[in-house]
Amino acid sequence: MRDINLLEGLGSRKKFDVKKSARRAAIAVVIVALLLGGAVFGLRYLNDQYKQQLADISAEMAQYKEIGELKNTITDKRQLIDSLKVLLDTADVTSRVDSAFFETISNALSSSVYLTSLALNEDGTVSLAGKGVTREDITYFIYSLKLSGAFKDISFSVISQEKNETTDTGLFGFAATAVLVSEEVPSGE
Amino acid sequence: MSRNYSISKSEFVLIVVLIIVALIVVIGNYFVLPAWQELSQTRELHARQTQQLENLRREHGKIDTYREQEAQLDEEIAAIGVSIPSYYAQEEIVAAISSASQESRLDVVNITFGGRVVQSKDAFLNQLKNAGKSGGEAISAAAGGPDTVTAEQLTLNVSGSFDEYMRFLSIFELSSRRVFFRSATLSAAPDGKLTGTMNLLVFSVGELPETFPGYAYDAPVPSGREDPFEPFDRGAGGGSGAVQTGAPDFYVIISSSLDNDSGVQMGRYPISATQVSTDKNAHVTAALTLSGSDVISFSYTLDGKTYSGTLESEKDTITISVLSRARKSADDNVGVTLDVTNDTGRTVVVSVRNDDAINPRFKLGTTRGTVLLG
Repeated sequence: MRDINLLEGLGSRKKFDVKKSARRAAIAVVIVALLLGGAVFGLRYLNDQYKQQLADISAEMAQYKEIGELKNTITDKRQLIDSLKVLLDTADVTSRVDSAFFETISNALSSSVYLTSLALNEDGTVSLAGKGVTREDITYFIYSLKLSGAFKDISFSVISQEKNETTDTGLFGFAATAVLVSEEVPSGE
Repeated sequence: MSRNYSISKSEFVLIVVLIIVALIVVIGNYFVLPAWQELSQTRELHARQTQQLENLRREHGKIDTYREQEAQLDEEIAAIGVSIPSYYAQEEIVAAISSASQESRLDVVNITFGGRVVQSKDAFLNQLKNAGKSGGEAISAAAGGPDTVTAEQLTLNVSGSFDEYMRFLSIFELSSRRVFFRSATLSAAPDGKLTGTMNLLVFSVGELPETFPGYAYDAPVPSGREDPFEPFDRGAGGGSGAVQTGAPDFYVIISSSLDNDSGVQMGRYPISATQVSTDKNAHVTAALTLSGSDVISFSYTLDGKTYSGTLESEKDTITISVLSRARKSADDNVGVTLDVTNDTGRTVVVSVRNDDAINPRFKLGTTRGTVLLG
């Protein structure tokens, strides 16, 4: 049977060598520092590479500068055209005195009614005065104006009988007000 | 602490590990992390710039299309500039009123100028929309911007017959230079003579010119006088001074089928002898052919009737004014489709006024050369 000496292990345990371990630790620290330094260097190298590429890209983009200026010019010109069209359209729809207005009035008149005065204001209000052979003729005229679709409100101010004593003939004078149907004003959006 | 104290292995390992961790934290925090962040930012910027460059390369491939678009927009601006020029000239407005008065025989007894007002576009629009209402706000703008509107209201005292009055209005409606009639009053004398007032609005849009007056006006060269106060001899000297300002080169009038002068009339403005017409209550076709450079040869056909002639003009544009009258009923089918062949190298501008927005009476048919709807 073999003898077992339990104290043999204690005697053979190596003593902790501080100096040797410190050297190893220093090497480990330097390696870690080198690795970290390498990482920093690598990152900065990559960054410089990207920056170089960015400079190349910027140089190439500068060659295409014309297209950006051209697109901005096109946008500006489109805006100018839109703005001019809005101006023209707004001035057009808010300016109501035209031949079409007078044609509408003329077409509503019969041979028994005529106008003595007519006024059209900027806000679309119309004042009419005239004479008719009978009151019915005047009402037909006003009704025809309503049917024309050009007005949204028409009302009499007065209808008065006018008699010529010497010829013993009579006619009727009238005054009325009306409001033109307003057209849609461009929003300019 | 005892002088014989020696560090244990586990303590040593712990210290070394702490040193390495501290090193990693310090270098990582102050060197690695900032470098990483900078790299990330540069990479993001690189990705964006690369994308932008790709877009630019793609866009640059279409540069000819963009140049064509720009040229087309320039032509559109020029076409609008015929209606609303960038400068405001009272001389031209007075000449236009004088010319229309002579042509229509309506007496313009007095012209009162309301004064030139320079405003921003928004203030001007606001004024137009609130015309005749209280609360309209007119804000003066710094002169010189591209959105600057120079406007003036004129009041005319007129006298004549209703026919003359309507002719006067129609002349301005056909004119390529836009003048807006804002309000009017008319009174009839027992003999049928009308007297009244007309309020006109004239405006221009654009930067005020750096030099005065900033535009050219076709005025005769003055001969000069020794005594500026000496009255002139009746009928002596002086040019005609009649300038057809804003007058179109050709006109098309589309009337209601219920009117006496129903149908479509087409002609060279203002010569009535050149007019061709049709009284059909139907949509008809018309064609205008223009050729030549200095002297323009023209030929127009309306419903089979043709007129040809020549036109001398130094203008860059040839204008066609189309005046559409309101329909009187649903049975009013008068209309015209105009084909334009422009072999002149100039721009043809077609201005359409008062047309039916839902069912237009006028249609621009086939075109050749530069033909724009102004």
